[in-house]
Amino acid sequence: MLREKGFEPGGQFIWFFHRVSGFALVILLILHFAYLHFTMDAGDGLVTFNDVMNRLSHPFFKVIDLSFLVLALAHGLMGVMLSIQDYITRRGWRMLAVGVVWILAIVFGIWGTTTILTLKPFVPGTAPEPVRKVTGLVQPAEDDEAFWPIVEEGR
Amino acid sequence: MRYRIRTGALAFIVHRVTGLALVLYLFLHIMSVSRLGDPASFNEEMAMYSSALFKLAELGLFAVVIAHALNGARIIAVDFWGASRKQAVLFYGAVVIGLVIFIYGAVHLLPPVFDGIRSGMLFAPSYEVIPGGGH
Repeated sequence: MLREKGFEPGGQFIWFFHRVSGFALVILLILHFAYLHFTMDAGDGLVTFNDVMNRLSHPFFKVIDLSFLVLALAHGLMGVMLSIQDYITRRGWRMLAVGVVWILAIVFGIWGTTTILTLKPFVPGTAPEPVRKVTGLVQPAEDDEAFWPIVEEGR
Repeated sequence: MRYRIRTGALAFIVHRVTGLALVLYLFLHIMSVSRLGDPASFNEEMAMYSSALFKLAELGLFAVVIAHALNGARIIAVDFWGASRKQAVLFYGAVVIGLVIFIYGAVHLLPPVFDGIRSGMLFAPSYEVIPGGGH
């Protein structure tokens, strides 16, 4: 049995970890989602480089995002391993598939970790910022002060 | 031979398919976020994600996440609290809760999709990157 060699998930610990990490991921996802889409892009609907830097310059968010990355990869790829155990029965193909999953785990784990840890420092006003484009359909109301600059007459 | 698709079997298939889809999304997400190394390129990418087709894809992703998360909650309830006799009730409960959350997401994500369809600009970003521009 390939499973006995310890390269494929199996047994009680994995079973337990899949459930616990799944629960943790839901909590992390709700935080991630709430922060990204209700706090960070507040109003303008777009997450920009500076928005992300503002958040990730804080070590707390680096720890949160790193644990999110590791848990998501571990949880997801364990699921892929379980699918491999269910559908691939030939020993050679199975070893190949398990090897590919391990390589993906290492490559994407390192890729994501480098992204989070090697971020450039946030300097306000230095990065290019997207500006809202009105696409012809969205007609701003005449009293929309955010769109029409207020011109005080007589000055 | 025909499988008898009942709630449990259906939930298993949905969980597996959505799980594998989410792994693919996770890879794409890690790749796209790695563009943070180049601010201008990251902002261009984010502007691209504001187009109508991407909003529609985001709604699909939202549905996949809801299905996987709620069915995961059902699995935890069955495994840890011995709710296996109530698994069918839990399944329908998850469907109802999932629909409510999905409708909330659709209310926010569909208007830009309809805008894109009406204007025929499905790929056009609703934002434009202006180098050095203000916010």
